[in-house]
Amino acid sequence: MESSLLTDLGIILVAATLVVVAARIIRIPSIVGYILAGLIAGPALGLVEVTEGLHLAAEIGIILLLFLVGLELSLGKIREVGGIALLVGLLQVVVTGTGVAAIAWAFGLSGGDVLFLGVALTFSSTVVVVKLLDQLRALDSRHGRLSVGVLLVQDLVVVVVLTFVAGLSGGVELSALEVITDLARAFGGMALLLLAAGIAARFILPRVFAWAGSSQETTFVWSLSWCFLLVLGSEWLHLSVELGAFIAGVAIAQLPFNHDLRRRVHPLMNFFVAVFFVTLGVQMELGAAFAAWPLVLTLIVATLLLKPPLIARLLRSRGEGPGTALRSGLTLGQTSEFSFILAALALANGLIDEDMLSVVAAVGLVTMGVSSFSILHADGLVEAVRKRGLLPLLTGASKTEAEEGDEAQDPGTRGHIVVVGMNSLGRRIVRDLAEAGEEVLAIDTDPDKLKDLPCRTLLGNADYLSLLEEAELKEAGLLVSALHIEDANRLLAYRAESFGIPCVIHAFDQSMERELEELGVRHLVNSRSAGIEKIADELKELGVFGE
Amino acid sequence: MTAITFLLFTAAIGFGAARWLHLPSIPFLILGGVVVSALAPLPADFLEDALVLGLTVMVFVAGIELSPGRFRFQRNAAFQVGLAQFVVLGAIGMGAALLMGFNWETGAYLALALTASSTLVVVRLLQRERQLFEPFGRLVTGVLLFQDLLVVLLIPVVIGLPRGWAAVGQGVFGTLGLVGLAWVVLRWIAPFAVRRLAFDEESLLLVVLTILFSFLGLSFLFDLPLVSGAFLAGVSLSAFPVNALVRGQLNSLSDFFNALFFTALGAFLTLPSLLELFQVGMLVLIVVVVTPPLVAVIAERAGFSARPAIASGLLLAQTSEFSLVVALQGVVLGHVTPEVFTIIAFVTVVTMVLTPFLATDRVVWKLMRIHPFKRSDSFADPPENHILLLGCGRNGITLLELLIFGPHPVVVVDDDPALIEHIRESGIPALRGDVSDLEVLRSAGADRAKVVISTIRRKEDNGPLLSMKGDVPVLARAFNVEDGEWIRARGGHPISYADAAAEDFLNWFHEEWLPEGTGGTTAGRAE
Repeated sequence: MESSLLTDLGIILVAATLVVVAARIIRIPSIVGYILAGLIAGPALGLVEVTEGLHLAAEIGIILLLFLVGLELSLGKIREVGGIALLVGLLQVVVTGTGVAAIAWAFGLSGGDVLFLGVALTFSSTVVVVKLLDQLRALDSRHGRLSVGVLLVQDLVVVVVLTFVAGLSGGVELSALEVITDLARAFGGMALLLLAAGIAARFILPRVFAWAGSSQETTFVWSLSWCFLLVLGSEWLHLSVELGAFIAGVAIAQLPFNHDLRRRVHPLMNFFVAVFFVTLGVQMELGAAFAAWPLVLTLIVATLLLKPPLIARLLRSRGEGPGTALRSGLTLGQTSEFSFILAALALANGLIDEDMLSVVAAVGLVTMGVSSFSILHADGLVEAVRKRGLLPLLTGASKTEAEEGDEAQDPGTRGHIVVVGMNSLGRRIVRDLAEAGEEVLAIDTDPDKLKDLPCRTLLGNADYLSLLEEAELKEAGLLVSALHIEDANRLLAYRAESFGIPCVIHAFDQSMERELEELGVRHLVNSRSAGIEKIADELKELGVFGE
Repeated sequence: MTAITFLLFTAAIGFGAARWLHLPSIPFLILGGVVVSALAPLPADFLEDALVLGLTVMVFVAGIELSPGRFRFQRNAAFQVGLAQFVVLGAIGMGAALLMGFNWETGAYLALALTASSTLVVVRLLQRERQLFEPFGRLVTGVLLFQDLLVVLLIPVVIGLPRGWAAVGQGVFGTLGLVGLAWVVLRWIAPFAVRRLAFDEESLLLVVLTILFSFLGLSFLFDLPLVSGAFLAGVSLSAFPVNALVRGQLNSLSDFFNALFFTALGAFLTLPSLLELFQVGMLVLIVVVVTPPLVAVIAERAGFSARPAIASGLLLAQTSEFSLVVALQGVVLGHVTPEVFTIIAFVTVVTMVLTPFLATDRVVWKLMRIHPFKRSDSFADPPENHILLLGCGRNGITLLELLIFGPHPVVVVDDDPALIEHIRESGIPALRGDVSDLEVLRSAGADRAKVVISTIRRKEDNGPLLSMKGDVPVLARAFNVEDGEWIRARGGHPISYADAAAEDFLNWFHEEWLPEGTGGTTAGRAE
């Protein structure tokens, strides 16, 4: 049994691992590593070509990524930044588009190319930004939410642009009526999708998922199924798959298993998104870009140096703090993967030639690569700018405002006790510890078992490192596992040892004890011997057993 | 996008139906696939990709879960039971296939498909009943993993047979080469990569998948089946802590691809004819009738008492997801017809659906009644002033070891004949019987004892005892708060091991943990 998809995936993943692991040593972001791997496996060595199967895998990557963003951002959070994002998103598109068109015009390009570049390079990359914000766990930060908001507004504009470009074939323009019909269909479709998702989120999904309850596998497959159904709906309505996936995520973001679901979708997303970025590199044809290097360089510099302050100033003008505004600007300082799709579509329709496709690809690759660094080091860059007194220049803030910090970090918790496994033992331990004045965090995979506990709770599976990070285990004073699962207990003991956190483990089977002791477990709770001791005590009280 | 959405949606319905009926999900996923393909055929290329990817991930994860340490104390028993089931069912399967008119080649595939039981179904049932880490749970897990290993090692032999012994030899030699490589990765490379390089989750996933694809590449190079490479790649990551660290990363991949795999498999099937349904019935009968007594006898011989031995046999009475792998391999290579593939798939579906109905306490108890041990269900004179221990499973045995050093004689009642025999051999009076039977309780002197200790799991089974105990104190084990209240309401003393363990923890916490600090709380201690 052979499969070309399997072979292609094998080459892509092996190339990605080699480049990403090597890139990690010199602190190059994984996204850059993926695209480099794609360039090596595709244009350089010719090992892979993008087939239908690979294209689908890459698309699943984007879908899962946006589904995760939706899960992260509930309706309330979106509403909070919606107005600003809408205004800034639209203004930025207009101003950047005009700027890029002006540069293209200055280089003497034809009217069609000027218009094309102005449209193609104005958007920022949803996939790059969301992936890196997710990596930084900053999706929920103020600048994270603003950036995602702006990107979603841009996605809506993309729908409009694609409607036009898809209709322009061989230079034949659409009639006004057709334009209106297409746009009405796009916005009507979106309204329909939102309405369907809203009704499902309000009346159907909570009940259906509550019934699935503690079955993680069922919940997981149902959630993915819901996501893909909305994506399919989105496609049918001629909307972007990203939009469908995002709305699907938002629709179930308020459900109690949301955090656990995010942790479970994450590895799947990582797998498919790696395929997406590598195939992006595979598809690059950069030959003509070298010949047009002055134009390419100017566009790169403009995108990297002018777009961030433009967005920062727009956000600042809407009352955002200077630090938040600049962070958002730095986050959005690249062109979008959409520019590749648009270029391919325009090329297919005879609107541009292959040289223009190459220019767009080169600008996209470099700006995505460089902005990956600026996103990952945004805090450091903002501080450096602040210290050099450049914040007012870049954001339009006054000197006094620029000196004040913003986006206060949550100081987090320290010295708390994390208790995993809310069986009878776990629940009793949690109650007694809370009563003794300890700050306790209870974890279980079953939402019912977390009910009525006198402490903070976290739903999820302890196999996931991200769950323990969310539980701030590194800052905890003690980890207690009451689980009756040998593998999970061993892993928790191992994690605790790695983090240098003392731990107590339920050693329900004597055969586990030695190994757990070797893992440095501070105390072993043996329920069987404790129970038998209890019986012995009772027998003594009854006078049937010797003292 | 339409095809994958259809498959996922079908899988979602399959999971829902399985949850509603409290049955394993795999049969519903396969049947869902059958229905979808009948209603709207999916693209063949897409189905093939879904099958290959799903198969690879499933077998890879099965290899990672091999973890021999999990059943180290039941290794010999697992080996004996696993081998016996493999050989006997394989031989009967081959005989049945020949009687049904199939040739030797097809017979080999059918036989191999009958030999192993389903890890996915059995582990889920054991988890549901909280028996995964009981000795018999470990035995069953060990048997499953041993059988998976045997099937994967024999696949190159079976698919090499039609091409002659040279091809078989090449397959075996190549497999052994990969086994050697897996050992090297297991011992040195994977621990170094995973532990020392301290990857983040994204890089760890990439490294793990690179190991998988490297093995797949080598299996392709040695002309071995894909499953051999995938399984051995998994084995190379099966040692702790590597397996534990990668499990979280692979769980969701596994859930996603398994859902796609089984649904796509269903979509790949043809509907069976009447003759094929009859053949399915015959093979199901072989699996369901032969496996339980065979496993029970071998498990008892290996030292297990009757109840866990019978329970093990019932749990293992189904064919495996690996049977589907074998059949798929055969049909893709053209060694077996799509009809034989359908037969194997339907045998798997039916036996998997039957398992939750067969592996129940009720069926175990019924089979115990026909256990060939000598029965002795009453004492001539009911004992007096003794300690009566009802239920002598794992916890009961440890308790018994304590009680026999006390001042009062101990009498044991349990429904497990092998266990009772063993206790009698130690010179302790013991009675085989149902602890919820008043006659048995009277015969054991429950109303004349100094104290009765019950370790029975089902609280309702304590009802007759609590109703006839008179002034005799009854200490009954309570497995949760509700059980405790139920027992107390009927005049018993509930004993909660969980509460006892919690008290043990809290003693340690207050006496040893906190005094080391200053603040009176763990947070204060941390400062």
